[in-house]
Amino acid sequence: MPYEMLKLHWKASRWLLLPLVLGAFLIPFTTWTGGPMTNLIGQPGIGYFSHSAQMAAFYPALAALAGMILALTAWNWDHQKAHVYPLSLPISRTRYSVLKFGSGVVLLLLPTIVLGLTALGVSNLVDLPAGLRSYPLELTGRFFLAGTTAYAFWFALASGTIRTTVLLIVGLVLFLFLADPLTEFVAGVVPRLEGVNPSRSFLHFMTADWGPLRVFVGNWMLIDV
Amino acid sequence: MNYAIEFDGVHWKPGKDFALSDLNLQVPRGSIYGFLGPNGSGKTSSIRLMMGMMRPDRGEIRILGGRVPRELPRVLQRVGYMPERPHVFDQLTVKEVLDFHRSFYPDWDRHWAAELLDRLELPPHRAVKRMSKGQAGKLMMLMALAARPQLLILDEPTDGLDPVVRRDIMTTVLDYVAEAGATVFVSSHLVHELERICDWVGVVDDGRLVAEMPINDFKNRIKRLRFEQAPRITEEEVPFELLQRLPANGVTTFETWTVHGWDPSHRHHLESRGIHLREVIDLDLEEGFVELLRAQRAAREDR
Repeated sequence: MPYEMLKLHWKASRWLLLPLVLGAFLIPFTTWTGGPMTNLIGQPGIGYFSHSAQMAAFYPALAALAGMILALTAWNWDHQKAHVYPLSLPISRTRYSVLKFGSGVVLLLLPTIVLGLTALGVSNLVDLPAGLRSYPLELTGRFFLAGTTAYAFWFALASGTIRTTVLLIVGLVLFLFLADPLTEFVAGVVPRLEGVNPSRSFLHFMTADWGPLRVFVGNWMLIDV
Repeated sequence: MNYAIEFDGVHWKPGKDFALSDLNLQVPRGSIYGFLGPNGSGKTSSIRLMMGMMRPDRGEIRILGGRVPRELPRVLQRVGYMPERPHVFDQLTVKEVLDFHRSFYPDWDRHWAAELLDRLELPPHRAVKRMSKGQAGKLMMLMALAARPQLLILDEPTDGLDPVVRRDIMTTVLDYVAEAGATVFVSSHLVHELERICDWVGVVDDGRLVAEMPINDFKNRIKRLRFEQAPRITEEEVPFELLQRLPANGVTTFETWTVHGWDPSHRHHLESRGIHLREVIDLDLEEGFVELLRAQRAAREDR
């Protein structure tokens, strides 16, 4: 049953997974193309460092994209037939969802493995000066964790109807963009609201040390000090 | 009696316009039960309730002795379901669909599935979305049967299919019933088709069960009576239900009644009242069904 679910998810997502896998190869590979440039005081390897810094933002973006694509493709075919087929199968809804979720996590391993192998390869190929280190395994682990977090978020959203999903996303976007200015406006009438920033506080909570999105905002450099 | 499907006072109201009201169904084990009703009468909703896709607002549903939705996965392992429209992921090929489907059914009969695939001439490597309506219908039937179910629930299985495919599908079902002794619950508005195969019939209209009985009783009890002269008797004085009364007019020279609950002894009852009954006409299932619905609707409008 898990294997059949994996095959189903693979068939639904394979063409969209391809560019993700390519991205998982290209992003760490680009660090290597930076070359062993020297800095102003003649230290070699600064090219790797600066390319690594330039690429850092692409890793969490790719993880978020991979999570989103896998989640949407997990439910897309079910939505097309109004869930009649899955509901007619002799399996509980919880178990069906767990199998579906598991298949997405397994498929997320594809870009993760490609990213990990490329990062390991680049780490072995570059000759780093003292003071610089490569972090291929840490980066790969972080990528998988971020991808799984994004996947879990989108999986939960996409499991509902399209209407519910759109309403939630629109609600979230409106909250992020309008909550602070609106609160500031109301603070003119209700003074105790002065200095309250709901959307900023929300973002701070989400990305704080134990926040669920913390994994996206840390250090994503393959080569660092 | 042992029932394969039991609805006990089931009520389900999804919105303002429609409700299933106090539905009581009893489908005997081993029967082929035709569930008749016009479009929008609640046939598919009833089936989705028995499949556990929706929960009733109140009432109890038992399928093969198991309570739905509480014991659902265990119950559904013994049920074959063919929906109104193909419900599988149509981007998959026939083989992929069958591989996926069989992984959920411990009693899946691989050899028989292969035999049916061959007999129904289904191309294993063709995507479902590229198949004709008839082929998709056959595939649904194969999926329902190869799990070796004790109960087959068929929702308008032949609607929109050509006569050859319809016959293929119904023959396959009947072969299986003869071999496995399974119960079949089949909904349709194609009454004449059910007449050939069913031994029980339930009629639903506007979310209510109007009649439920063996099909022979249904046919024997709905009759058209012709009288030489208009009988001088009121509706309350007759021992059956008068569904329709058509007085003689320029076109017909006899007064005609359509009645429900007819028994041959009623002829004597009428004659003892001095009423001469000229003719008792048998109705086929479709005519009986139409007359019954017409009378029920008229009664509802009167209330």
